Amino acid sequence: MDALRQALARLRAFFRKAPLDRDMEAEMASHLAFAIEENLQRGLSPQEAGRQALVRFGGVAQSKEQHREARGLPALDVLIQDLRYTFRTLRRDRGFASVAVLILALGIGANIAVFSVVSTILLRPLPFRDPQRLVWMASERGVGGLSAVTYTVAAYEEFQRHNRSFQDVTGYDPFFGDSDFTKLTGRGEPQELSGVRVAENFLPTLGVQPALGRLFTPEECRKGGRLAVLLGHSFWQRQFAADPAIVGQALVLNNRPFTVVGVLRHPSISAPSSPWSEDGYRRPGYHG
Amino acid sequence: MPEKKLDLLQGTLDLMVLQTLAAMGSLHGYGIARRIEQASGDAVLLNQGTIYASLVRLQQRGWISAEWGTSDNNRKAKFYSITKRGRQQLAKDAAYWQRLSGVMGRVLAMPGEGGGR
Repeated sequence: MDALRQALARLRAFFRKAPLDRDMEAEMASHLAFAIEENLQRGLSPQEAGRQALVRFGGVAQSKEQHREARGLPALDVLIQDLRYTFRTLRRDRGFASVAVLILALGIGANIAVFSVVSTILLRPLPFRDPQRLVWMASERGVGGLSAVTYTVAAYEEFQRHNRSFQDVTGYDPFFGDSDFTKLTGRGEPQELSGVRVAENFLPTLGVQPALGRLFTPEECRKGGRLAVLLGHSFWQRQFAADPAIVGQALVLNNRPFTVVGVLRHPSISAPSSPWSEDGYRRPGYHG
Repeated sequence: MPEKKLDLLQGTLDLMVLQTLAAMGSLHGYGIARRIEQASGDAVLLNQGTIYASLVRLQQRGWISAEWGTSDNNRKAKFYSITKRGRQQLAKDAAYWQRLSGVMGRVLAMPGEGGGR
C-alpha cells in the first residue's frame, strides 16, 4: 500500500520537475539562512558563518541530486538522457543513421514476410474441428497439378461404402472457380460470387456450424432437389447488412432461385450447396 | 584526538526524522537536522543536506506532511509534521531497531578474544 503510494508519488514528481525543483531550492536556501543566522548569534564573522553553514550542509549540489533521486524516477531520467544523446549522435551522422535505419527496416520486413507465410502454412491449424484428424485424399495420376488430383463421383461413393479407416468421407466440387452458378442477380447490381458445391456431409464432417439458420438437408443434396445456399459471414455482412431475415429468402444465382438456408460462422467458407451429383461428369475431390 | 563520528546506517535517518517529528511536533528541515545532532550528542556525522532526501521519501509514503509557513524569527520555511500513519510506522520501526540492537548487544557481549567487554 505504502509502496504503491510512493510509486504514484514518484510518477507524479517525474512530470512536475520544475515546480518541485523551485520548491526544493527555496527550502534549501531557507535552511542555509537559518544556519547562518545561528552561526552569527554564536559570534562568528559573516564570512565564517556562511562557510560553516555550507560545510554542515555538506554539498548543496549532491543534496539536490539525492533529493531528485528520492522523489522521482532516476532510472527513467537516465534513459531519457541516453536517448537524447543517441538522437543527437544520429543527427550528426546522417549517412550512418539512414543506412542503419534501412538495414533495420529490411531485416524487420523480411522477418515479417517470412513469419506470416510460416504462420499461415505451418503454424495455424485449419479452422475446423479436430484439424489433426483431417486427411486429404488425392490421387496421383496425370499431370496438371491439383486439377488432376480428383476422383469421379462413382469412386467417391465407392470410398464411402468401403470406408473403415475414417469417421466419414466427404467431398466437394473442386472446380468452383469456373462453376456456373456464381452470378448473383436481382439484388442491386449483378455480381460475381465465389462458392463451393459440397456434398451433404461436408460441413458436418468438418464440424462447421451455421451462425444462423441450418445446414443442408438430405433433400437439398439429392439430384434435382431443392436448390439451397449457405452464405459466408463476411458476405452476409457486406451484402445484406447482417440482416437475419435473409434466411428463408431466395437468391437468384445464374438465373436459378436458391433458398438461403443459413449463414456460416466467421471466419468461414462461402458455400452454395447443392449437389455436384446433379451434374454427373464433374469429379468431386475429397476430404476424408 | 576526538572519536570519529558515526556514519549513519541505511534507513536510520528516516527513523530519526520520524522520531524527532513525533517528539517535537512541527519543524522545518534545519530544525530537524539540529535536533538530531543535539539528541545524538553530536556523535552522528550528518550532512544536513541529506535530510531532504529523507523528508521527500517520508512524505511520498504519507508518513509526514509538509506546509510552507513562517518561523519565529519571521523567515519563510517548510514545516513538517508526522501523520497518523507515520506514528504507526514509527512504532513498528522503533520496535524493530530495539530488537536488532538488543540482539547485537547480546552477540557482541559474547566472551572471548577480541571485541567483547
